[in-house]
Amino acid sequence: MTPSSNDTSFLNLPANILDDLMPMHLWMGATGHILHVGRALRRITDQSRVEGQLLFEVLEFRRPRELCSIEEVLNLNSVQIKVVLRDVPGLSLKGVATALPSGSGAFLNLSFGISVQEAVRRFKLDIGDFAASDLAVEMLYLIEANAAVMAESRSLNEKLQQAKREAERRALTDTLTGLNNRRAMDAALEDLVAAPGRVGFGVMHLDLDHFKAVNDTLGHAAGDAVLLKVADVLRTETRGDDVVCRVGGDEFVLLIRDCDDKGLLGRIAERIIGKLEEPIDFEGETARISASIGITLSSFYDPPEVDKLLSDADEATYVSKRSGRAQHSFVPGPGGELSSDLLLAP
Amino acid sequence: MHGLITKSIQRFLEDTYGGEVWLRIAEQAGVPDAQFETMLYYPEKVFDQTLEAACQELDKPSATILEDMGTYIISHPERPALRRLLRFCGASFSDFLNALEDLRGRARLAVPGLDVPALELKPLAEKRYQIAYEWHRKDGIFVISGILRAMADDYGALAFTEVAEDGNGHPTIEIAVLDRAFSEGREFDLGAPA
Repeated sequence: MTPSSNDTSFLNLPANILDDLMPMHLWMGATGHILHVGRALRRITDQSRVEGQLLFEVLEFRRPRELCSIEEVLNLNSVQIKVVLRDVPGLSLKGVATALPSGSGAFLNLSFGISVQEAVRRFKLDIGDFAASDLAVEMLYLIEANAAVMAESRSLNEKLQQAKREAERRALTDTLTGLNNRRAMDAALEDLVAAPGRVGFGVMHLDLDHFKAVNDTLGHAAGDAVLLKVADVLRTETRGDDVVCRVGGDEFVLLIRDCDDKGLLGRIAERIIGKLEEPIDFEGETARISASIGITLSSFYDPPEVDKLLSDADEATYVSKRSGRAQHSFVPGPGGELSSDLLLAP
Repeated sequence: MHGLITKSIQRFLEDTYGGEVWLRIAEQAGVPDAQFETMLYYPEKVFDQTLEAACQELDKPSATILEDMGTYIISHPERPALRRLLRFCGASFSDFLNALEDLRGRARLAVPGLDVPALELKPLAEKRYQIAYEWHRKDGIFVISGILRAMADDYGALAFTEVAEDGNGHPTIEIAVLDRAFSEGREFDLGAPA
């Protein structure tokens, strides 16, 4: 814009109005000396007399780079700038610089950009240090609102996480397989012992064979796939009101209601073992497992007790393992010897 | 209703009258686990029931409880967030009053989904104003009145507020600002404590 004789295209502003409109301005004269700075900029430079000093004694341009002569500054035409103040380390200001008409000087208007909150803390600025049109105060408002809301969200998330852990602790279901967990089995067995039904019930303890090898060679994802397959087999081979539980990593307990039939339990056990021995495909690899099973019946005891039933079934499983795995064993019943069922088979 | 509002009444009752009083009120009102969460929404009914139970328990009219709650959420020293956010509205109490019509927008900017009353300042005479109020529940005006009283105090201005009705039966607040530099007020440091 060229200077015009038309008075209305020029604005003659006293310093105090400049201060209100642009508290972060810097006005340089034709000689390169600073004539005036806005009140916020004065506060930042800590009362040191920047007015009267040469521009380059007070600041250094970071953008445009290599800008270091007064002549260049006198030719800037609304250029975006980034400057650092020599006496205020660690603070960079952004803004605009433009030459004044007829080489009479230059005018810089600066702002803090996104480091505004840090600057406000450091220089103890208040609302009056910002132009009313500047959104810096709104930005501070948002930063603070955001922090407060995030804190509330975090506290809610922590509570929800804790509630989730608590719910899992109280849950009756194994999260991987969806089978009953040990907690659910304890409760179901308590109930059955209290009311065994007319003929009593069977307790089958099942330990997977070769499961550790699957985990070790094919990885835990394969191990999980195998466990899902096992759960599927156990559900299929039992009735809806029987109770199938995963009580450990590769350990299961089946509670077979209304059953006093050793033959039937033995057939169920063999069917389960047969199904579990079918190869399981996982991502192109094949996993092979089997199972060792120990079985007891509530009718063997008078009265049946939870701990005794479980420890006997567990012991019978151990007999199966010792006898070469992939088989089932019964506790011998009252007065009998504990031994593998296969050995007793006719 | 936004959990920030329901939590406000909980914190007010807990901090002012004690945990046991709150538990009785919460049980009477059927507040789940006697605990509001600030970042959840609640049916408006739960707030109504809480307010009603508080009126019974404390034997106070609901207007008083709501106004005290408005003062509490600004002036409680351990919960400075709201006071600070409102101080960003203006450098002086009169700037603050003039910025009241931005309050609804500011609330939404801070917490999307937070619905607060729409306010508008109308000058009546020198240093006397009427504040027009619009919201889905009329009794929110008492909370605003409590907030204004506490903010005047915060800025160090002496102001009298009175809830009234305009000619059309709409609730309004009349406010007289007697002295703009009544006291020092509380300090407001624009930079949040790190």
